[in-house]
Amino acid sequence: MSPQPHIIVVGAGISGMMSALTLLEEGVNVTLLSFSKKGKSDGLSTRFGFSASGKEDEILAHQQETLSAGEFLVNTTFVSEMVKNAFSLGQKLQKWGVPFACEEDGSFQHFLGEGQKQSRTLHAGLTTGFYITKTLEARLKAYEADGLLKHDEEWEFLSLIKNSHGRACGLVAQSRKNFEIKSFAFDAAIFCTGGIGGLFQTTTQPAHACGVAVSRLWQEGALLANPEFIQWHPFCLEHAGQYIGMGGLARKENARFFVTRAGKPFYLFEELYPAYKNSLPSLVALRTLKKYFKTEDLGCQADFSSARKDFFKEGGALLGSLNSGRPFFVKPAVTYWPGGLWVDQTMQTSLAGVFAAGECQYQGHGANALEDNILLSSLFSGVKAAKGAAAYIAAEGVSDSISQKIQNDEEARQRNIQDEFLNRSGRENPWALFSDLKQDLSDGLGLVRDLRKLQTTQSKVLELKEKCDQVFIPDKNIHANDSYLMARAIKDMVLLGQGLIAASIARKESRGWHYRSDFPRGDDDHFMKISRVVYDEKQGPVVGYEDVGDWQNKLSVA
Amino acid sequence: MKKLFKIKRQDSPEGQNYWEEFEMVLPVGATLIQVLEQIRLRPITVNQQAVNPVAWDSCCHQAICGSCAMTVNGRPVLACSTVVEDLPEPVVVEPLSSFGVMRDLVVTFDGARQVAFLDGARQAAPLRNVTPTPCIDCNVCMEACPQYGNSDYVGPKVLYQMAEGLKQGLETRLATSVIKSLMNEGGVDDCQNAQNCVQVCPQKLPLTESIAYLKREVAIQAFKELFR
Repeated sequence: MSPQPHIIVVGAGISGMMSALTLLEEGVNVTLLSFSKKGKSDGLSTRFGFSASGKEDEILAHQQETLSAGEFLVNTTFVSEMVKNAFSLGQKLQKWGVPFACEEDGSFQHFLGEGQKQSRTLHAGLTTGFYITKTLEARLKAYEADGLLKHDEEWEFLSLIKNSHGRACGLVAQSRKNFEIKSFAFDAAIFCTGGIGGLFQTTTQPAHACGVAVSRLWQEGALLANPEFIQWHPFCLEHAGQYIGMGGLARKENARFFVTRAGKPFYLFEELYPAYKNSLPSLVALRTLKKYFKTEDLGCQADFSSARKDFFKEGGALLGSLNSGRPFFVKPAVTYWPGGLWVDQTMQTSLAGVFAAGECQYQGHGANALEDNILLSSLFSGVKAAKGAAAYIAAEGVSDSISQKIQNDEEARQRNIQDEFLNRSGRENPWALFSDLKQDLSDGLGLVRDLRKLQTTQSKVLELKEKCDQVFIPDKNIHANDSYLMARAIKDMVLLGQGLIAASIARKESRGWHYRSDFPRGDDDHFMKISRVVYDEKQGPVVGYEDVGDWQNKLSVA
Repeated sequence: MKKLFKIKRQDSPEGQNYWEEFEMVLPVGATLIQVLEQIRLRPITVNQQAVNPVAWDSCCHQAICGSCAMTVNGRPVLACSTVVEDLPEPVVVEPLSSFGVMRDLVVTFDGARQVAFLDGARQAAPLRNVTPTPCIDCNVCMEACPQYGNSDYVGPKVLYQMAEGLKQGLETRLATSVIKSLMNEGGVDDCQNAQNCVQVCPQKLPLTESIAYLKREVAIQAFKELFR
């Protein structure tokens, strides 16, 4: 009898949980490894909808909108499969318990989504991501109680273990609770480690979404694709340094946005884009605001007076406080990373045995993600990566069990690195370096970039890289010591930042969320291409390009 | 704005607790999370003593993930939505007292009893397909409850979740065994109706209504058994 395959899913957000559930349904053994405690992930605060339509012509429209918003820098097959499967995925989620809003006859109620002229977006309550996360979590708990799933919470990924053929067959992680360093053997791993909003000053994402795992995989040889595209959301409510994306809710509740002109409200999107009105693509909204203001502060007013009566009641602690009925100020913040780890048709990264799903891979979005595709692509890529990983093991066999010695050696190497860190005598506070990095990346990789800014940021980031070696950890406590984890991770974040900047400098055109004031136009001849960034220990990031193929025909692909 | 904070600290699960005071200069509208972030950048007490940064838990900073519950001036709150401006000084910050401290303000929610309780219900009912409640699992209600922690009482959060599950309409047989499990020690009868839970819930959930609903269901079940 051949041994049971065993897959590790790293990250327990929406895509990680979906991957695990897909594998469990197929009877594969799964270990879920997560940085956060169970059920605490970025998806909880995702207020976008879930684009899904069952009608043939709408599926085609959904695909065309997705491809043209992403300016074709996507994997077309992935997008085509994603939009086709969206409706059945929605039905599955509904069966599992997600309370999508329904019409009286029980069919899905469709709302307008970003960049949609026809309504085809589903919403569950005010925070669709919250209900999806909670539903998946409850389902996983049932599997866990039955002993079919092991969920190890509060572990940070450190490194991969490869066998002599270069196939990844284990990883080493460190417990956030008590510093334990431990190796986990696997036949395949699926990384679902989310985005990088935490690397920027203004973001809707949690502070720990900094791409540390992605950076570590990249340094081990995985490719990055389209990393220069950083997605902003124009309508965010600021709450004590944190930003709350309001656009999804605005579309759902028919809210209106305006700026004040000559002392009167001017509903600029309704005037300028009558076909879309306030559901216009975020990118267009920001460009319009920019044209209107010609300044950096691209805020406007949100008027939610058209919202249902229950809206503020359902809104929980923060949204409930907006209940005065008066318009409130919203402004842009980083909300998503359309780029990420490069993956092939089966969601395998360039490292054998390592798969990726969710926000940390690039496939579904290209230069610009439609917001209501974000939950969809997280879920769909989770399913696809699970199937890809299972098929990989079926074809390649389970990995020859790596010797205990290799595992012990890697654990020992990581313990040595830890000791070296704890005994350092530098003087840099890791949190201060983190704060500087956020400032630098926000300056250089903002909404408007140019060569001078990018080069300044590049040299600042290089300075930071040197400082990372001078990091000092006064706190030697082995319990819940996030300062130590930051001290170890800060260099990985800085290196990833270097990769983003290199890709930004190399793309001498404007496309999607990458806007260069020194190259304000798109250059299809040279840059209608997916950027691929390799990490080279000596040279740093090396940028190359992958053809997207026959893109003119992609619009008609059904 | 200058503000004095008195923070209860503990280095390990077994360690003794102690107090440290920090004086912070804060922008208007600053939340407790921002205070803790500032301490991390410059961990120096009011006596100019350099100390280890304070450890705490957080995730979304949008009052929806329920990671950052702690006690401020004796009241359990979410740190991310607690504006410190109007709080009387010194602002006393402590970890939730009904749970084990991992370090400083980080607590472990062991919840073995709650899991056993919910699992009893889960085995009785196919809870795989259940619409989630708006409960954010922050444990603020558990901390506010005078019964929780002092007895086997399973706590308001768990009862609320069970009530919502029951209301979704289970088969009579399954519903009966869920209700029976609630009649055990630590079940609904241990709620002494202090009504603290409903006052502190950040989501403003009708916790006491749910508990009252369960008490009614339990009473009906007890009555049925009496005349069986």
